[in-house]
Amino acid sequence: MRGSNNLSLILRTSRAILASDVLRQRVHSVPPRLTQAARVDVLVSRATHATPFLSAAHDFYRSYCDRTGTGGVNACWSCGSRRDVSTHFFCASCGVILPPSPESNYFEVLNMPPIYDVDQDDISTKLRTLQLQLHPDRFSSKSKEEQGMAENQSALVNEAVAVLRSPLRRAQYMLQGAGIEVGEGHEGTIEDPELLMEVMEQRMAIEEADGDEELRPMRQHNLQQLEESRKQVSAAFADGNVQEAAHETIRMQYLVKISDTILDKLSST
Amino acid sequence: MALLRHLSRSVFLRSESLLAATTTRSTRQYHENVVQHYEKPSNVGSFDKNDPNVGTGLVGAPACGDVMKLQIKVDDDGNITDACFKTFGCGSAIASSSVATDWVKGKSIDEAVTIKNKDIAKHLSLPPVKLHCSMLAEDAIKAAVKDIKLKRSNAE
Repeated sequence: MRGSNNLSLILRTSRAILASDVLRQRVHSVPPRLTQAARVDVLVSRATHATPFLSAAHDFYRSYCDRTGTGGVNACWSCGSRRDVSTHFFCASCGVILPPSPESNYFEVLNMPPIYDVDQDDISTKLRTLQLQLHPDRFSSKSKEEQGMAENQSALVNEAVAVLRSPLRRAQYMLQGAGIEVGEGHEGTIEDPELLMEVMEQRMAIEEADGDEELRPMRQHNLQQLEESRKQVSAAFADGNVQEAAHETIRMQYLVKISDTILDKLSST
Repeated sequence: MALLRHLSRSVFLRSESLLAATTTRSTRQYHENVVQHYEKPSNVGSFDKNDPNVGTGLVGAPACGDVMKLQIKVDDDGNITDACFKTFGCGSAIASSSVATDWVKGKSIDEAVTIKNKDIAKHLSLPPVKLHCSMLAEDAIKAAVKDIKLKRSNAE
């Protein structure tokens, strides 16, 4: 249990705000198979002009809204008044449900500061409040379109919560916003001997482990490493050092994979 | 322990459940060549990486958390006499490294680096989403050749 307490402690620690100018950097296509360090160098050296914060999310919302087919995304569909980022869900003038805003990222959806060390309690509170406000029962007498909008908004809230609650997905999402793909969209390979050697050794040890007694210390070690990794990612983001954040997030991806492997083996023995 | 496990899973692995679902689905679509190489991979093992005649390539695919070690044994004429691998990854990654080690044997190190991931992928009928697994194998060969070349130039 001590491990999980530490986890939530770290989650609650708030850090300095991200250097938003770093996050606003634009990135173009990059040769896929550079070493990670070189890749990030290229990414950052190519980063020049400002684009909206978290442009990937931005595109996502645009296509999301197009699918809802509700027309103008910057005006209320009912009364036509202009919407701003403060009105994610309901029109400030007439109170009707709105489709998801193309201007918002997940932090804005939950009305939270765009920092890595998000307040987990705040996320839970927001989730409860929004689930109530967007609950299907509240729209049972409304039009099909409005029910659809409420559903889409609700799905969006759930996705935002899922991403911002996970240390790994949150880091991947923030990096994506800075134009750096380290998660599923990263198609390249890396040659980082130090990291890969460590991963290889741990994976072999897990494979050779005989029974839970040998696996449990590995689990503890892995949890410590995950915590350590999260601190590193957090510090890198706080310093506005996206290169380091990307590097450490890749490490975290490997650690999560190791965690998965241990848990699978633990439950099967 | 169970609670701890649950907590850490819920905190860290939310993204993983989606991934896992995708992987399970695609498992059923593997070509029989993949299944064969996965179930009975050739050349699994390890050489002494400090052996002056052994080249070691260690590469990773961060997107899936895969890691691949491919080793070649090279004679004085630069011909690959033996090869082995150890891969932690999906079926496609394991099958790709199995094929790669089969193919490099008997080739010179200069021929070996001409092996293209596309050929491996074609041989295994890998779907587009799994192309990067064969890329891992191609890069592992290149890294192993680079390693042996470096060893030999240092020895001179």
